[in-house]
Amino acid sequence: MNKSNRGLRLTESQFGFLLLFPALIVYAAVLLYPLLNSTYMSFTDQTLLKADRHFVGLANFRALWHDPNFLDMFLHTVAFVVGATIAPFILGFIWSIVLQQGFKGSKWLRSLTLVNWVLPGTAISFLWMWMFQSNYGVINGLLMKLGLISENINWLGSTNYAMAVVILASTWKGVPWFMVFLFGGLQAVPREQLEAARMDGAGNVTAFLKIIYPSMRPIIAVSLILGAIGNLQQFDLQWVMTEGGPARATTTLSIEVYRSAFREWDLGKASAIGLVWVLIMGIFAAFYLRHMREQLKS
Amino acid sequence: MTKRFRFTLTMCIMIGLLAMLSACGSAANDSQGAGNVADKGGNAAQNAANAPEDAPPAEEPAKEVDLTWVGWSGSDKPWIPIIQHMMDTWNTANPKEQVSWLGWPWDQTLQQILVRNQSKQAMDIGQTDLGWLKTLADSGALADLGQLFDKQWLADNFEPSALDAGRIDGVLYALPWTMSATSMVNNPTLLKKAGITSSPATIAEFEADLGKLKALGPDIVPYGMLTKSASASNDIQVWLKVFGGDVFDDAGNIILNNAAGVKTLDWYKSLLAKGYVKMDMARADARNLYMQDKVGFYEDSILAKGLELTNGVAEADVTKHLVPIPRPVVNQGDKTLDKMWGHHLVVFNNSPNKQQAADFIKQIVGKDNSLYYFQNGGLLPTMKSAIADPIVQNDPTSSKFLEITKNSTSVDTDAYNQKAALDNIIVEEFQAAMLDKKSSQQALDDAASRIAAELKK
Repeated sequence: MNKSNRGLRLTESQFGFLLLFPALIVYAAVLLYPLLNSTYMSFTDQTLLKADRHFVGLANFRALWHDPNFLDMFLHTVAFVVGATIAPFILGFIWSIVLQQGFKGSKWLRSLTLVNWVLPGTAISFLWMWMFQSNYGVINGLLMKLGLISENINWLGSTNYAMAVVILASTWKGVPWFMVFLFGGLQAVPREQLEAARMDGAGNVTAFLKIIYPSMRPIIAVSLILGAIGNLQQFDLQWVMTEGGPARATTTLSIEVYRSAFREWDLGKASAIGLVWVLIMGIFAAFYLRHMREQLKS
Repeated sequence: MTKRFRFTLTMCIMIGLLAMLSACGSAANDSQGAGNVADKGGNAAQNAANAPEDAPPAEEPAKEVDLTWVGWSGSDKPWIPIIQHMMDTWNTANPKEQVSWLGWPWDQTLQQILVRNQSKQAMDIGQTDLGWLKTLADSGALADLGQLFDKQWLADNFEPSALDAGRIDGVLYALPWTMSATSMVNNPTLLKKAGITSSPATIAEFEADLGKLKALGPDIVPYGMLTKSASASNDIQVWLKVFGGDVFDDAGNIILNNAAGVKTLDWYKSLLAKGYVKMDMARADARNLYMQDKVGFYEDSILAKGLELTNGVAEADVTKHLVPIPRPVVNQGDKTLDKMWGHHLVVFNNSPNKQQAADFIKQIVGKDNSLYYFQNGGLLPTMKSAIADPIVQNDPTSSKFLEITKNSTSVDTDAYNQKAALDNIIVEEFQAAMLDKKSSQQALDDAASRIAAELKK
């Protein structure tokens, strides 16, 4: 009896591992296997047109390097990620400060703001696409009524405006997400410090810079990093609104991966771009993990 | 935490995990069975063949076959009842060979078929686009219909040109279901308002008409030329031919960037500069604006008539709103050209029920179903007897489309399995030139070098 009990005795760490085991199996099947498979695929010539594949070494990466459009695509990705992260962050921050004042109806407004976030990306894309439609879009109609333009602007058909419109749609979608994050952070700002500062004559800007910002720095960093990662992954908005055009003006890494895989049937190339994409996201993820570790330590 | 509790918890987790894994295993088997019900018939035969000889004679089980028909029309709202009617007719007459539909939007169907084919998922019959044939044939997804249909029956019922459109390297991979041309259509209501009384025959006349339409106001798009999406490439390639150019010469050399190509692209740019066309115009946008009387001319197939009907336009009123015309030419007397358009029906190589799938196709392209499709969806039949029927011949819109189809042609990129990629390159470079990001020559040179790189893969 004692012997059999001893055979089943587990250390704390073994027991912990056992508890994690089911999750690890799911992780391996759902995340690890596809990641490893697509990494291998990036070194092959696999396409959707034939079942077999051959190892081609770095050929897909070399082709990417020599692709005259790759730099543009990379810059478009940077522009989209920066724009679609910073703009909703600023608006979300302002909105969370407004809502934090606790005026009558602020709770209702907070719930209402979340509607944008709940809507599917494809629905948001169609909504904004129609608003910016050059012929019958409400934006052109409004600008005409206000006398700001004399003829319709082809927003999504112009390389000058298309990216800005896509960023605007993404901003509309992203504001609630940032608002929720930052609102939570604002709740943690010590009230007594704020009140003391006010009594000492601190204005809004001073209170923000000296008290609110230092208290919220960790949450600001986390929200920006996660927002940037989310925008790097953004696909549906650009695809539905512009298909990456006109003239590749809104082609980001995510669009190019889809196009390579499902328009050019080139899974090897798509995986190579995907790997570059993962590496870029890895930089943000590393920042995030370092930040989390520092927070845990402190 | 006591040891006993820990032991119990550990056991629970292990049992739960095992149960989950076994459930997944059986679910996988079940789903394989469900998704591949069509296999049942084939497997039953296989099992019967593998049964030991001394086994007691079992009663012959009724062979039941489930056929999966993939495509897009059965998922496209206006056509859902029509497709359902066709399947119901078959299913009622063939209770042991039931057909069910599996569909996606048109622009996702090809990729879904390729993915499913590579992962060996059940598909028996397919609705495919004429331009996808080379890609699908090269992927090995398609069965040789020459082995499934009687040659005499094919010859008796279809025009040789219709069958040729379904052949790659002499092998018949597809039967035509509906065929016409993507031709120019005009809106007589709008044209009348602009004072245009006859259809333009030459590009000069066409431009003059566009000018008159433009004068109607800023809301009017005189020509709903496609400037967005890779499918714009088909129209671009026909205009290239009209101006004496092409993407490839007969030897397969890229000639897109020759003088005729530059002339075509310069013409595109001039139309944009004059406000006759707009950027960001996909076929769906052109159709929507046309239905609202905001577009004077655009390119569409016989589908345009189907859309009129499904949007509530009475059959008798279609001609007041939709008139197909041959594409204008450079000089009076030049041969008119339009893009051949159509939907095919194919049998998949992975299907264990190829003959039943072929029988189903035979019924779908047959006269009764074809005329039903024509009367309710406006799509032209392909079977000789159905085309000759007075219902088709006496329809003014359809007879015009049939006439234009005689001068229709495939485009160069149709001959390549990388068609989608080549089309995308052509459209991107045309867009770049139209938006003054590049000169016409530079854009076409870039297109040529990108096409060459794509074909080297």
